[in-house]
Amino acid sequence: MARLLLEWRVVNRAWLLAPILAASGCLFVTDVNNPPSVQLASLSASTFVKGEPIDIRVRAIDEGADDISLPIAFTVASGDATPVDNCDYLIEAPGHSATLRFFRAGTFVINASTRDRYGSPSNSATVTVTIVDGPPTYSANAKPVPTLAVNGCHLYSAGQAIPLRLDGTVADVDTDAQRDDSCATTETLTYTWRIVGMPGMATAKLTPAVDDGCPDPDAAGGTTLSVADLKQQVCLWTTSTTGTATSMYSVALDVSDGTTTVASPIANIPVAPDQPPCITGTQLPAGSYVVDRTEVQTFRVTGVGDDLDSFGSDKLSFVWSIWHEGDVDVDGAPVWHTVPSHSGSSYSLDVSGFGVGEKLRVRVEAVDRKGTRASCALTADDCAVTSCGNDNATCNQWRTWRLELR
Amino acid sequence: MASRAALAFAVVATLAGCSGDDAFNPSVDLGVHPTDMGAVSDMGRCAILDVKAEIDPKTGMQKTTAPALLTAVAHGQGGVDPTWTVVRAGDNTGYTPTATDVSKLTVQFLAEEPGTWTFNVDFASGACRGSQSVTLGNPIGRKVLYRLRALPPESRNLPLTDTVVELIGGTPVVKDIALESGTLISGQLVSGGNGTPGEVRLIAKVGPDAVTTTNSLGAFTVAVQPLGSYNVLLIPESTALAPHLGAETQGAALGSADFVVGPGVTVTGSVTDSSATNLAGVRAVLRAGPLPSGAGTTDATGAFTLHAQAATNYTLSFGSDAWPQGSVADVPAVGGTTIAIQYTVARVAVGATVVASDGTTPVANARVSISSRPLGTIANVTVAGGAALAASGRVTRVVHTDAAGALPAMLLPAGTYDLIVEPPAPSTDGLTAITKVVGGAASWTLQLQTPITLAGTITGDKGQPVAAARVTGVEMVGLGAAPSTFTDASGHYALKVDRGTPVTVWVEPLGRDKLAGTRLLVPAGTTAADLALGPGLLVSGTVRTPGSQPLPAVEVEAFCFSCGSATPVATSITGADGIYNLYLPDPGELIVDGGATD
Repeated sequence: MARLLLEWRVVNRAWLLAPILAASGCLFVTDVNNPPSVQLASLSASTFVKGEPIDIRVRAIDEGADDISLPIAFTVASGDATPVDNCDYLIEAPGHSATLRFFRAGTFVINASTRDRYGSPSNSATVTVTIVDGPPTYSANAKPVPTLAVNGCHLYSAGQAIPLRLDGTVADVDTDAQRDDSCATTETLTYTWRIVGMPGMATAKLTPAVDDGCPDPDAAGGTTLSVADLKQQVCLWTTSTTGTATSMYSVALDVSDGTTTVASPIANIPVAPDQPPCITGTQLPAGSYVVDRTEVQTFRVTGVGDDLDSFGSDKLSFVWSIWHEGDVDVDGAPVWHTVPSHSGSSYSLDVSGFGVGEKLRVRVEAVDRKGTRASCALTADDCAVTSCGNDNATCNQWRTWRLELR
Repeated sequence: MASRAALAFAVVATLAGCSGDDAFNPSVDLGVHPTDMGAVSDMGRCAILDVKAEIDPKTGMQKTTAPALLTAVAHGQGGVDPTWTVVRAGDNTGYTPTATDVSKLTVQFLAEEPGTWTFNVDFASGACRGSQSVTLGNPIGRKVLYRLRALPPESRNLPLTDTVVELIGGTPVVKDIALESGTLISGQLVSGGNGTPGEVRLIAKVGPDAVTTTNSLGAFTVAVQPLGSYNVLLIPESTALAPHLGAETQGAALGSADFVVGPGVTVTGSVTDSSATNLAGVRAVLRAGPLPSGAGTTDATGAFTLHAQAATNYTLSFGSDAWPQGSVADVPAVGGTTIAIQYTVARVAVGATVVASDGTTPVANARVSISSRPLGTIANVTVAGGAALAASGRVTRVVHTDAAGALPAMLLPAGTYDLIVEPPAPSTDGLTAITKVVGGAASWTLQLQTPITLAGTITGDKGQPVAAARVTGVEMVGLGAAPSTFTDASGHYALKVDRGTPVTVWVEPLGRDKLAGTRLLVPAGTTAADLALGPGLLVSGTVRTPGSQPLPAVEVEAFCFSCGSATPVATSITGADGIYNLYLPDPGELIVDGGATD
């Protein structure tokens, strides 16, 4: 029997040859088609950050074929219990090399396979990758800082509201990781300020700053405060009664991307007990004067240094009092008469009601919101107190004018 | 029409009543801010702006009133891609001027409203920010002159600085205040070659006085305006020395001046009663304008000695706790002058007790001001052996109650007395005014009264309620209480005031309301006072040190020159940026009635 010469270069269906082979007794076949195979090049790592490009290179092998022409099919399967959603990944420029990005944390199995031109499927090459969240990161040396100047002793004052901001920036490499606009945003950074520590007796709170200031002591707040904008300043309301020593408040900022929360370095804010206000200027300058008893005498405070209340603040008040020479109690101590309900910084006195040659003293005392009065001897013209309110310079909480009416 | 315009301007000139120049020049402030320069100092030199108003065809000069087309030119300095804004003082809206060429270094803006218009220019690179202002007046605005007084911090040793600003109806003004470094005078009050303590008062011919006191060695330091003229008044503490008033001297020359005082002339005298009994403890002083003498007090023999600068026109004042205050004019003080004072007025015993408003509880440490109405002649005064002069007088005295509420025993001449009784603070009772007539010996019970509530509503220029305005009731007698409160959302206020005193109600609205504060004197006992605030014109600017640095915490007071006000109309304290804001009463516009045919 003549030999059957099969001209097929490639026999795809070898079983079809069985009857022929039985009839002829012999069979000559030049080539039998073998399925292609694929191999995945090793990845540089097995763990990647969300959104990070993963470059995949596939080697396809098929006998007698142009390997490059074999189409590579990629599929992604879940490597853990979470089903894979279309928004979870993106395959870019699929070919023998492709870039994959994943948009949620988890374990994924990447499959690559091909078929030859006869439709023979290749093996399925797989690689498993672990996708992790990229945490928020602070710029170098970033930390919360007060935006209020310290007092003359380089401290803050108990009872003070201290605006804070982050001195630095926050970045998150995968905060914008998203397949496309049809998919939901995978991350939104949130910012939470937190009081980490405070003196034992304190009941401090954080509130949003208004125009970078802290105008409202009754604003709602707590020991944590979430803000929408990193640039939003917050107010740390310290407690006015924290003893006599310098104490420390500690504040940190937590930034979260929804998966990972990262705390900033802690800002330690030294707070000292309230300092008394200092009268830094008067007009006339405090001293002894001979005045015309027919003229109204006006006295003004022209400057006050205080750690809590600046000059001009409604919370800074003044106590005016008069002493008429000879007005003493049974012990010979001077009896000063306080001008009732007069808290302003200037005071006018009609001296025409006094007699010629009489001697008076007019005294003004500055009182901040704490209301603490000076405790100097009533005979002292100037009440020198220790204070940081005047850049640690000489400080007088009260000053006195001596007047002689002529 | 020409005659109508002439009439309008004639009326403007007539009614303004000010020294304002009709050929008012727009004031131009160079506004290159050092802080801005510091912030962008690496960007090169700051832009210099030149702002001009269009030429008025009638005068051939720049227009000084609105409306006017303003042209601003930024002078180079390498600035690239300028961005311009124009802002009118008191108006938060920023406008964009029109560039005249592609370089955008020249822009124009039609300013339709009077006021201070400020051009600001920023550059993308090459130069830092520059700004400059021009003020356009209101052609029919009334004019009022104000004096702004800046009170720099005492530690700066700077003189008080007065700046005059002309306020034109409807025209907000930007007026920077440059504090002058002044001339620092360090001297010593000296007598007989030795330092002596006292007071140094440099009385300015124009503007604020410079006043200080010396230390115990007579040393002092005070800042003056170098070009100002001052009369030096020296008042030594020692009663053995005479105060001295010097001739007018220029401030710059005071640095080399001598501040010497001496005993002056010695004036001796005596004080007796109608029975020629010597009176001890009577005080006598002389005063001629600002110049007082030293004080003299009679001893047990009724004799006193005082020292004075020689002069012939003193007014002699005398009195004591027990005797009325009297005075006579034209008393000379020359070497050897003697003065004999003999009280002629009779007195009767008066006792008094202060009780609370319940009528029974005695009030200790109450302060009682006793003022008689004029008593006529109370004494005869003989100067240097001349004819006796009749001295008029009155009782003015302040006494206090003891623990039992009793006043010290007093001897008072017959007459009508106005008493102001003030309980010590705190008290549920208030200052109480009582009138008593003394015809003979008397014993008074002075019953305090409770305070009253003074309430009302503050409204704005359109009748709107003014919220959050500070309302202060300044009491005009006694110690001068000044209770204060803020209006509520309905503009309502309520103050607890004393019923015995007239009250000046001060209203200070917030700047956001753009209203002028006001003051109203209401009689004692008033319980209701509504006040309407007029529109306010913003006068603002930056107070700068002599080194041009903005200075915070400086009080700026506005005095109305044209109104002759001796008290500030408004005050402001500069913020951290050195800026002050004052809302002063808008002088308004002139109403020109052209007649029936107009």
